[in-house]
Amino acid sequence: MTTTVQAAQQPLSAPSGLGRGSLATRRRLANTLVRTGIWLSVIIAVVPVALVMYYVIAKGAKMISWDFLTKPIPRQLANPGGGIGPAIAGTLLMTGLASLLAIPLGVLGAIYLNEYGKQNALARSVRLMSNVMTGVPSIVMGLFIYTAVVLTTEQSGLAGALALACLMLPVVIRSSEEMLRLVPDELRQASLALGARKWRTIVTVVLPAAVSGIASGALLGVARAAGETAPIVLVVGLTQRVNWHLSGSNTALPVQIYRNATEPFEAATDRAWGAALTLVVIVLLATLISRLIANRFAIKER
Amino acid sequence: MTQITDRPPAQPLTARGRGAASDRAFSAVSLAAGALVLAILVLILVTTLREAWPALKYAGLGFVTSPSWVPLEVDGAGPVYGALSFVYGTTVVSIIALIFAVPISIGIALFLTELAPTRLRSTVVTVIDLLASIPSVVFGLWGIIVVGPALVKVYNGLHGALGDIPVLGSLFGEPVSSGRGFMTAGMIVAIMIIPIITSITREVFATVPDADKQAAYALGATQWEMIRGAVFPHSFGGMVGAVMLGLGRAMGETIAVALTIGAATQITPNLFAAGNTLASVIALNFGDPGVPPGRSALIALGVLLFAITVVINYAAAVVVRRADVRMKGASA
Amino acid sequence: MTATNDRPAVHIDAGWRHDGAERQPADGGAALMELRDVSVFYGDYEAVRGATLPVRQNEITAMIGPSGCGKSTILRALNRMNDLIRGARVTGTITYLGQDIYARDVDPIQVRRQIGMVFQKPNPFPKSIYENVAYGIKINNIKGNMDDMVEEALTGAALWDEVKDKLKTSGMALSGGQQQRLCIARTIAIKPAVILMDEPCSALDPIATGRIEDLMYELCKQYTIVIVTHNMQQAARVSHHTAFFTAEVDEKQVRHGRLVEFGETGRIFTNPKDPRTEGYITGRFG
Ligand SMILES: Nc1ncnc2c1ncn2[C@@H]1O[C@H](COP(=O)(O)OP(=O)(O)OP(=O)(O)O)[C@@H](O)[C@H]1O
Ligand SMILES: [Mg+2]
Repeated sequence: MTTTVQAAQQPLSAPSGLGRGSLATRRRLANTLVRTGIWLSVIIAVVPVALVMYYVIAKGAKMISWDFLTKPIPRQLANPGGGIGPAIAGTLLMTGLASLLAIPLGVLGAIYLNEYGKQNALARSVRLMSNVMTGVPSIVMGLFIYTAVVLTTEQSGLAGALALACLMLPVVIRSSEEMLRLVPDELRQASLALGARKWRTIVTVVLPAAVSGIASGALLGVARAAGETAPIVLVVGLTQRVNWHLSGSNTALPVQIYRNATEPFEAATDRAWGAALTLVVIVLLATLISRLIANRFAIKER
Repeated sequence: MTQITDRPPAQPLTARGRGAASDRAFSAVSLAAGALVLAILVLILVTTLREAWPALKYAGLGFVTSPSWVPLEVDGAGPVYGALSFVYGTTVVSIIALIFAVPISIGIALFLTELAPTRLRSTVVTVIDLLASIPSVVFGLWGIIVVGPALVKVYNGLHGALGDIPVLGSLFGEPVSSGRGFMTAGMIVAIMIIPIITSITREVFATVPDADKQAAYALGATQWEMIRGAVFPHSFGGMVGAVMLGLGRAMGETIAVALTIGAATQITPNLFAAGNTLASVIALNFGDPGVPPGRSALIALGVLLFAITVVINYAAAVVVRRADVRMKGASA
Repeated sequence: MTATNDRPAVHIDAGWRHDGAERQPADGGAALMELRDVSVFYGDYEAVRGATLPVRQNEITAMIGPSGCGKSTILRALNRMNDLIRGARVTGTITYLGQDIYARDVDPIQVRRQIGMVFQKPNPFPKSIYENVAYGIKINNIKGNMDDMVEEALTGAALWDEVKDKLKTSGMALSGGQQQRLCIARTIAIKPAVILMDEPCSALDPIATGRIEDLMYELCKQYTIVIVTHNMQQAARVSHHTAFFTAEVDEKQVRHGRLVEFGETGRIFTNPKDPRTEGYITGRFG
């Protein structure tokens, strides 16, 4: 506190030897410069977003058609035609299964942290380690599933889903714990005072009170997972046909974008943009729905 | 009026049974789910290390000291696995990314906490959210098709202007014709780590007590002087944590880098040259890892990357939590 | 409606409170619960030391005393809500119908099932009014027609007329006083024997407070009530017996809550035996 005030004083008292006018000008100049810099950084960040969105929409939109969204992937990416149907199916299958695994487990983990473990040693280390786990590169998670699952079975949609679930798990735990923390303790006490057991209190009072926040956070995690490429490239293999099974090679939208992007042919590039638009729409839809749920929650809180 | 109404006769208080057991079961299940995080982290290390072992044993110390990576038999000589070039590439790309991303993120965070008119604030927040939700492969696609080719001209210009100056000249060397290289990859990664650095610095800035800011203003400080005197000192720890988290993300970024870095195994000061990072080389070569133990060697690169990022993220988490505790202590 | 009409009578005729005949319940006030030498610890800190008092059936027992003297602490000990606080311990014995509620084989859930609690801040669940009342009934598997039981509880809490047309709306949308009565309805829906109330009116205005007081008076015909209050008029108006607590510094300079005096409310307020009680009552009252 004291150091802060002193620090604030320094720039004021340092140039006391200079004339009043020049001091004011220098300070005003510095201030203007910084303000300009701040505005500039916002603009610098907005430009790439705008450009990416522009390219994705401009180049992707002309590709989108029913055929493109449903047809199998051509064997030769250099050739025009074909579609990305199997990739859409794979993305839905794998993110769907990953969500079914990671969301319940993540919410349970958050329940442990916020309702049982609280500040004990195990809870604290789980909390810290889920922060660390959020930062584990997705390619490493891919290698993990490759060594732990694929080597003993095969490249499959199941392996992809497991990799995505591992990536989602810490995200769901962290956001769900935040939401559980917002549930006022009075509600828990009210329920317990009515003779409810702790688990019933959690399931019937605490979770419903936090459900929209949890859903919103989880959906953001789903959106992230849908865009993951690296682990999928390692563990699901490749297929040209729709595969709704958990076994056998599969594919996903990000993989198709990646593969087509590396091919120096126009047909492939076009296909990549079309797949990118499809993926961005899916991801943004999930994000938007998550926002809507979160907003409803915010209003109900008041 | 004083009649005692019929209440069900008091039950014994000791009716335990199924109820208490269900409570124990639920807490055990939730504990297991929480502990899963620890189990997965341990399993990652165990399984990847097990598969990486043959290559590590084969390469020995050379794995971290040799800059050459030749996953084939050449003239009877066995494959060579040296990760140094990729460690170098990872470092260069991350540094470039931080150099661009940190000032911009801090700028945006200051904008959001100090400068922005209310209406613009939510717009900028939306844009940053949008930025965070665009998948990295889409940035990679944009980078390889649009940004790389567009930047070649800029690179050429810089090379022409600065190429003859002793130190700068070696940094700004001859660009690759496709524009793919450290610089392009670094800039793409910079864009992708802006959201995480911004969101954490912003949270940190938001916790600066209003009293401190008022105190600075009361002393006649300009906005910049207030930021320098009140906001920055108060948020230093949190900012360091944010930068470290950004660094962790930058090092682990895979697909966007794989698409834009140009895939070359070399250590060169030339920022416009092609290279590879630990993450990108795994993604690029995993389908075709060369002679055994090539795949094992790629997994070994993953182990190295895992170790580095875990250390960085652990440190970042600790730093952010410290800063968090201190700030909460200060404002309470 | 009738409740509001009763109010002035309660205020003006302070006599009923001091008239022993009116106060005495039919069974002469058999003790439903008994505290014997009860101390409550938070970790190493002994928040309340050695309290001994009875809670008589179909009576209202008030606990008064300066802030921090451990009233809430004792109250929470009565239905084992203290179990939820890490490090909280109770020594001495607290019995309910002769059973030690802290005995090894006692299930705190069963204790709370029969000894309910209403909190200082109204805390309805973020569910509909109906669901709020139905919650405890469902949790405890009480058999019967749910609609009837909900109506009975809301009527019992003098809230039915106000909410009968909007049972589906959120309990959070009610006024503070209505929310508190909803919390009471929620508690009486499971028909506990004892209702503990911790400053149930401190978040309410005088009119809402009056309605809750009337309600307590009605409820004590069927239930046994223990109320913690800072409002001494309230204690004097509604309670049959009063326990006065205060915080005292022991030889090691540590503050503990102590029970100073327990007795019939009329006597405590008109003729306190302990000078500390008198000081507190006159200091605030007169
Ligand atoms: N959860 C807790 N942990 C540790 N100490 C506590 C806890 N709750 C209360 N105390 C301490 O126990 C003592 C009694 O607190 P209690 O809340 O019972 O007082 P009170 O008489 O209800 O006060 P008030 O009239 O202000 O509500 C106080 O010194 C308080 O600091
Ligand atoms: Mg209290």
